[in-house]
Amino acid sequence: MVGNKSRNGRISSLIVNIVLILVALACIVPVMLVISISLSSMDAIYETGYTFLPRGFNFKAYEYIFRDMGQILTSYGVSIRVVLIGGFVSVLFTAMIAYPMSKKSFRYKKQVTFIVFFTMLFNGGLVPSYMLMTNMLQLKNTIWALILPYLISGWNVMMVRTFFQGLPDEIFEAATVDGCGEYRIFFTIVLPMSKPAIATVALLQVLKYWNDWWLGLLYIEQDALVPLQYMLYRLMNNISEMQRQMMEGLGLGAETFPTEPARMAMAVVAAGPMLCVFPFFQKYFAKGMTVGAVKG
Amino acid sequence: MKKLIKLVAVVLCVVMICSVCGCTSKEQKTADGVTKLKYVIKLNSQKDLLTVEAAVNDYIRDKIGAEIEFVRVDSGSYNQKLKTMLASNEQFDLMYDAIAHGYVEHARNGALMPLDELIHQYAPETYALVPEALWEAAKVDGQIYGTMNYQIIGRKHGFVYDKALVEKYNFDAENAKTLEDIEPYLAAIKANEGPEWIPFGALNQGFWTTMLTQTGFDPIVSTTTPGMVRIDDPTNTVFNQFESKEFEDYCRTMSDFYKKGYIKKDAATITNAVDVLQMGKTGMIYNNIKPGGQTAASTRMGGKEVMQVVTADAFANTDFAAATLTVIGKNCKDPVKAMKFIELCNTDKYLYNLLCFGIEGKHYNKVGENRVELILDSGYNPNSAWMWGCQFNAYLLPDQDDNVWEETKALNESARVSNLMGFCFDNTNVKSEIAQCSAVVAEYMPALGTGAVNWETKLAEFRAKLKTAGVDSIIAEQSKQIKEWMSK
Amino acid sequence: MSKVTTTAKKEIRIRHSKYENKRTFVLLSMCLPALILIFIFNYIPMGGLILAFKNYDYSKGIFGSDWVWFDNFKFFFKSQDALRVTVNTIAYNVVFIITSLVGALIIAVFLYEVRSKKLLKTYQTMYFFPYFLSWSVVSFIVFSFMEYDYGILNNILEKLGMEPILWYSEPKCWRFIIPVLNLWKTIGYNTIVFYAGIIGIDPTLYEAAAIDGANKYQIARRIMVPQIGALIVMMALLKVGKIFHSDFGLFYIVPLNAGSLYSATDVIDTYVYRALVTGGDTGMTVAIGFYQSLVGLCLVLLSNWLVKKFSEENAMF
Repeated sequence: MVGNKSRNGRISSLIVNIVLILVALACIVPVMLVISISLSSMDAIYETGYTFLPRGFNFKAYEYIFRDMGQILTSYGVSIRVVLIGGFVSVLFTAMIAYPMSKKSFRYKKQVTFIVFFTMLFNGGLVPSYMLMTNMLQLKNTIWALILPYLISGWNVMMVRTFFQGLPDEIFEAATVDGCGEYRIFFTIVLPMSKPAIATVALLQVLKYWNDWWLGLLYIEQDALVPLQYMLYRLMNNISEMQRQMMEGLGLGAETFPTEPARMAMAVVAAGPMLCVFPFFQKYFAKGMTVGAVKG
Repeated sequence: MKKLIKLVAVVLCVVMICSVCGCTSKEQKTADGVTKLKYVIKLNSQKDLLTVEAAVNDYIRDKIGAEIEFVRVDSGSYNQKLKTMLASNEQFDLMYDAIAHGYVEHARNGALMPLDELIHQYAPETYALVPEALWEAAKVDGQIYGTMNYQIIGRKHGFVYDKALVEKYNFDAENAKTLEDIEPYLAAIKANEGPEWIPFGALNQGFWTTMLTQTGFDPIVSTTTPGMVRIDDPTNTVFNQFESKEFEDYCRTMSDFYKKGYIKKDAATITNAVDVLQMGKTGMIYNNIKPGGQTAASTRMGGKEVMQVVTADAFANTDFAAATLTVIGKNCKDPVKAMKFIELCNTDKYLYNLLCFGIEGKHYNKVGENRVELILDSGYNPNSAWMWGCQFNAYLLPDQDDNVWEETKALNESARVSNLMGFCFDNTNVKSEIAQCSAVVAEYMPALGTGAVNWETKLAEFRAKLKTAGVDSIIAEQSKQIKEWMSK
Repeated sequence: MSKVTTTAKKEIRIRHSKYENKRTFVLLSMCLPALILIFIFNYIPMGGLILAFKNYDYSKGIFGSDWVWFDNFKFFFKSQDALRVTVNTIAYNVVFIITSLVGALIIAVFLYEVRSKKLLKTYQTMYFFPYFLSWSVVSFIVFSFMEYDYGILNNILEKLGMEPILWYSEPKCWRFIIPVLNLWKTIGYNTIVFYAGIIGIDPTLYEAAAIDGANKYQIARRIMVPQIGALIVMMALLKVGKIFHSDFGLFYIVPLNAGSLYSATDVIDTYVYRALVTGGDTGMTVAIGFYQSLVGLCLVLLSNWLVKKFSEENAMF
């Protein structure tokens, strides 16, 4: 009986791992292809087709991107600043609004929830937002233009709220009886108990800020404030325009275009740093975080 | 629920009130009466842009009592950004604009300042530079809203061959004027060169839009919108080009070429056409041909020596003529100074070349009286002489002939001018039909244009869909407006 | 009914309500920073929605432009492709919601079974890889698989002695490719949300179940899923709200905007973009967005109402 059970356990754990590995492969193989192309030469690609191992191995693509080292460093700096400030403030404010929303006894729960939810469906569109940022708030060409619009996302608020709702009621009752104010409960009990949820939101926000080029495109014209993703977006996106000009014979001389390997190299350069940040968040996805909090 | 609705209503009201009082503009004037002019340019990041800006300002400050401040917008996002900026009423003084970027809509939407009087008063030389007839192209509803950056306007088109192959197969390229004529050449490449060779290099729309002049058609709204007139038709009868026999012939020929393997299999969906072209395994293309463009054409074909044969003589229509303009914003701080700046850009050789090439010794070296050599990676190489002003003031680059500007001028003067020069279609009444037709054209054009489908069924389908999309009302509206315009 | 003297009842109520008022005030103050930001960055620009009913003239401004009421909606509703793109949009989104939720749920439950922390980290990191890639990079990856001459798939077909396929002209394949790509790209994101929910469940519940002799499948079905039920419902509801929207990158950039694929790839957003890209009109763009959002709102309210009927606590509001 017991032996049978553990065998079942082993088989199920085997199946689980096989599925997980297959999915992991599906996720990683295309990424390897990207890296491989970024290290290949274009001629080799046209000769043998696309392969998972680089052909005609070279670093030309990376040289192309890094030839303007100063701008790359500046852009990394901007992106990091945006991620740090934006990530922190965003998580704090998101959790702060999600907490009252999660309480059944909060009188305006429904209203606040609807106000937040409504923003997820409706937006005024590009032109009014642009007017707001440039004419009313005068935020064009400031770092705040890259941070403020994304601080509160309805999606995150709803998610954290749902997490909070799952916390056991007894703790709150106990704390209220002890005479703790809501702020104290929030900071000393709720936040530490919800580390996985907070880490999730933090991760998602950090990714959102890191991956964004749209705000840069709209509001940044000075090179000193160009975030990394926008810089790469520019490099990529200008290609097609330059090619159009070339076909029309508008330009005077010939230009050097980033080739396909260069475009892949950009993707590597853009995503690389985030992969290093990832383990930091994963600390909070380890098991048993909440257990300790509930029992302790 | 009722409470929620009330709440939303209240919030929306506050919102509206807030957005009403949203317009402020900063006055930027330096102490000694020098005005700072915001100049929106289409340019990719240049390290030394500020250095050049300072040099320009040193030069123009005393001359016109103004300084400029570049607002640099990337070429790849220029359309998008421009639209947003103008729709949001953002303040600017000068801007690079073009028909392709929406010049007509900008003018009609009141984002630009009418310039008729200003030009005559403050930029007479700029006005005199361009032949009177061509100024019609810059007019929207009878008013000039932008000054022309005078350059190549008459466009010639033709076949561009890989010269080595033409010689190898002894092909009589000089006398090949139509798609049918080139077939022997294509067949020879297909039969004798390796499978990696593409006899006829097609962009993903095919050649229909580039071949319009050769076909004898002159577009009214854009090359892809239904509605054209024949170049040699003095009555300017509007017709739907997709219903024409010429289009049918084109589709048949391309489909034939495609079946015979002269065109890349995936031509209809190709996105890296220029990359493919630059591999140097393409037999020929159809393109625009300009004086002194031999080197550029050769670079395009992957450094091969090319042979260009003109099959469509120089033609100038509104699109070509108003391909690059400088406009003044409707909330410009000082239109007079802005116009004076335009005049300088078009007439002052030093200023123009400063904008084009940067600072001598730092960004380029002079290698002759009128000839320069660019310094590699110097931090300023905009490669956009077409944007700043009259291009005939530009220094020559190493691969340009001494008389390239003379030739271009001659070309412009010899070009046949479109009957519709100066006519501006007002799309208000058929906006939704045009949008629907654009969607249909975008769906069918790549496949038909490259011949990648069974043309007969697809063409019939295409025409039927255009009909349902309201093509007839577009044509009718165009005819009506052209008649009115001609009777004036 | 118990009989308490009215005065005492009143006093308790007053004291209680005073305390409640203060508490409400404190809780509201916690909402305040986020509410202010939402108000400024979301609600103020919403004034622009009235452009849907106006012919926007830059020089007259948003409020000064002339009313055209429903003219801006005409172009879409009169279009012969409206049906095709609407059906495509809804069908894909329904498939997306089901596949991405079920897929992520399964992976999250499986991940919970992984005991080794190192392995766990590795898996999670890998699942997030696709999320880092922008759609334009994904489009290159897909292109390198499906390119006619040099693509990996055709290379394989050739080695197997089969005819190469023009992948970008086969709408049938794309009906399958698009949901797979969507699942592939979002799996890491959705998994992490569910996983965070699962590890938040009180483990004593499993222990109790295990003692009762429940196997893993039963534990997953009877404990994990109901425990994070609210989370699943919320994710589903939020996606329902976006059912008329679609990811532009996935439907436009990845299929290379190939006309031959439109029967499979054309959705509302790509159609509108294609129609309005040349000389596009601000009013028309806003109008379509407004319509998409409105339908989304109705659907969410409807499904929320349905959820509420079955389980009160899982409803969103």
